[in-house]
Amino acid sequence: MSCLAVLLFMHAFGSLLLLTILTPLIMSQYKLDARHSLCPMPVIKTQNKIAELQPGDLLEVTCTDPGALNDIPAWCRINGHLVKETHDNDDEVVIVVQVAS
Amino acid sequence: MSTQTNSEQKRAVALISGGLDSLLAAKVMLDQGIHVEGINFYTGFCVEGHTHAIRKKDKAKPKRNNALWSAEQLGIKLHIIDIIDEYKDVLINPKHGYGANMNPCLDCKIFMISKAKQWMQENGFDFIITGEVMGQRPMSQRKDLLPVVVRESGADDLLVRPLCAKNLDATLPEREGWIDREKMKGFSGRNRKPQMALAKEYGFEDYATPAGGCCFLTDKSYSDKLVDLWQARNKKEYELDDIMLLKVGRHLRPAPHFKLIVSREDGENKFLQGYKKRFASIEIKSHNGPLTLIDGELGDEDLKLASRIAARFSQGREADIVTVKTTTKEGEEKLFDIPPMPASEIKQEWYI
Repeated sequence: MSCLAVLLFMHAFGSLLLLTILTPLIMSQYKLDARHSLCPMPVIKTQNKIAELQPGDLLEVTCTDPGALNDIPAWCRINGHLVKETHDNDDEVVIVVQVAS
Repeated sequence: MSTQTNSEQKRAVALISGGLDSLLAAKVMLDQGIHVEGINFYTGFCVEGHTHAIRKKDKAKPKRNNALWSAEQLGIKLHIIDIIDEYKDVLINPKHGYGANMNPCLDCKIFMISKAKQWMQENGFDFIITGEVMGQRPMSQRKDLLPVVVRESGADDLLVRPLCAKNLDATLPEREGWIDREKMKGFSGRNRKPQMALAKEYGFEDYATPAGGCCFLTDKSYSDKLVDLWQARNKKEYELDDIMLLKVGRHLRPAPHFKLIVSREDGENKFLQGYKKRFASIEIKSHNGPLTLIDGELGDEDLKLASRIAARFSQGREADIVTVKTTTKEGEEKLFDIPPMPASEIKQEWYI
C-alpha cells in the first residue's frame, strides 16, 4: 500500500513538473508586422490579431510609428492584456504582448 | 445613483472620438450605473498627431491616441474599428453634401451612428451614446439636423445625447427608466465653458483641446490635395496609402501628368522611404536634401525638370550643379548632375 502511495505521488509530481516545464513551450508565439502604418493602425492590427489568439499566447508587434509605444500598451491596459517587453530602437519599436485569459 | 438593479444593468456603446464631449457624455452615463463600452471608428482621415509621429522635430512631444486615453480615464473598453473601405462611399457620394472643404460631416455622423447601431445589435447592447451638443458643430450638430441624424442612421430613439438631452425629446432609455433625464445636461451652442467646467468637476485634466480639428477633411490644404488627386486620376477613388501621403511633404504638380511629393525634413524622409517601391524617386547625393517621390510616368525631360525642382529644396539649392540619383519603381537607378531650379522659376501654381 505504501509502495502504491509512493508511486502515485511520484506520478503526480512528475506530471506537475512536466507541465511546469512544457507550459511556456505550449504557449504560442506570433509576430505582427505593423511597420509603415500610423496611429491607430498598429493598434487596430494588434487588436484584430489578438482576437484570433488564445490566452497566454505571445504577440510581438513591430512598428515604425513611435506613438505605438504609448498606444498599444494603453490598449492593453484597457482590455486586460499584459505588455511583457518594449524596445525602442532608432527606427522601429517592438512591443511584446501576452494575451489575457 | 443608479436607476437600475444590478441584475438588469443596461449597456450602452459610446462613440468615443477622443474629444472632450464624448469623454463627458460617457462619464455622465457611467455615473448612472450604465455599463459603457467605447467605439472609435477609423476612416483614415483622423488627425490624431500623425505629423508628430513622422516629423523629427516633433518627436519630443508626447504622442497619444486620445480615444484610448479617454477610455482609460473612464475605465471602459474601447473597440477601434477600421471603416476605411466603407467610408469611401460616404466621402465620394455624400447625400447631404460637403462642408466648407471636403468634409461630409452630416453623412459621416449618420454613417458612424448607423455602424454603432449595428455593433450594438451584434453585441447585445441596449443603446448608443454620443457627445453631440446642439448647436456646437456648424454642420452635423445644427438643431434642425440632429433629428436627421437620428432618423437616417436608424438609431431612432436608442440614441442618447447626455450633454444636451434636456433640449431634446425623451429617448426610449429615458422613458423606460434606464436613465434619469434630470441627471443629464442641457448644453447648447458653441461655448465650451460648460463642458470645461464639467471636466473640472469630474477631475479630467489634459484632455484634447476642445474645438480642435480632428479630421483632415476639414482642412483646406488637405482637401485641395485630395481633389487634385481625384482630378489627376480622373476618378474619385483612393486607398489608405494615398490619403496617408497627402498628409506628408510638399506636393507640387509641375505638369498635369505627374506630381512630386518632396519631404520637408528627416522624419518625413524616413517615412517616405517606405513608399520607394511604389513610386519612382529622386535623391540628392551631393548635398543633404529631400527624398522626392514621383506620382506619375515621366519621360527624360520631365525627369530632369523634377530633379531640378527636388534639388531646389536641398542644401545644394544655390550650387551650380547637384548630383541626383533617380530610381524607378522597378529599382533601376540613374546618377547624373543637374543645376538646381532657381526659386523664381518654381511656379506658385505648381503647389497643391
